[in-house]
Amino acid sequence: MRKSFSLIEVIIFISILSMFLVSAATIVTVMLQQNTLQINKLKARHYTNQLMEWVREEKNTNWLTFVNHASNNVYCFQNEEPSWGATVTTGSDCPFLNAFYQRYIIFTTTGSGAYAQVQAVIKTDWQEVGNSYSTSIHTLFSQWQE
Amino acid sequence: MARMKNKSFTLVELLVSVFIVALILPPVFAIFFSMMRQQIVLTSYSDILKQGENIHVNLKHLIEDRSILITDSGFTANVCPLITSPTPTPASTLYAIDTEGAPIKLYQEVASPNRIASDSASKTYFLTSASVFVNNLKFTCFKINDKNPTIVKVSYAVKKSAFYKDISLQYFYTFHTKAQ
Repeated sequence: MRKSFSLIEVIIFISILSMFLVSAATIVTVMLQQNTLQINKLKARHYTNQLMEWVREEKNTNWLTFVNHASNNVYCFQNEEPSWGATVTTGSDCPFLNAFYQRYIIFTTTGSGAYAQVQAVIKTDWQEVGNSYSTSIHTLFSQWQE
Repeated sequence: MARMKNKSFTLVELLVSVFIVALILPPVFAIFFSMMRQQIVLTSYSDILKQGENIHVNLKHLIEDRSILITDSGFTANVCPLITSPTPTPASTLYAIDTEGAPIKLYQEVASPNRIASDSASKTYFLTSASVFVNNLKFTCFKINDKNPTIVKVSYAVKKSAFYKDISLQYFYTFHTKAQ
């Protein structure tokens, strides 16, 4: 008589194999999502840092022009090369940079002219797999120090 | 001998096994390669960011700390106009005189391969590693008035090939020269 597997044995084997495969698939999916998130974070940090460098040089070029621009406004920077553009009410109204990121600066100014102090929150936001992510730099500008 | 023959696989069993393996292996390899590709892209972006920042530091040193005058290719006349807008047409090479009166030339080295080079005192120094390519290097300079230092705008793209796909990041910087 040829010995074969019973139904119970086959079901147990398939169950164990399925559990292993489902776990492996979940781990792989999470790893792929995490890698994509890391890549997008690196790019977002790059865009934020670029904007930080640009706004610092704007401040160094002409303080009074910078203060005029910065007075309690939210500016969008949807082009890779930053330039002063239109203001919006909140950052979520900004056009997309590379059809993915929303990059903007929230300025809060106290004082005026040469004695003004400008607080800047430079942010790059994006959405991924139903979640919202953001990188930001908070800084304070004055005519004498940053 | 008859019992031994009964224990071997039949052709149908073998065909079914091979068919199942053939179904499972392609998705497994696809997942493996996509994970590998993502890792390579991630590493490439890190390298690009590192090299891009390195170029920024080098340019900042050469333009802000060492250059006192941005000149034409003969290192004689000041080429930066007195304007506010629009900015002048970008050039691919920057000629300057340094704090010791020596000429500096900054340009994109196309031959080996797409790096930023600096000629100073008859020597050529590369400002970027050969692990990345630098494209679209552009310089613009102008002054907003006679009292302020010259403003030099630099833009470049750092590119790297990652798993049969080119990835790149754009860089835009503004520098102020040491002297007016």
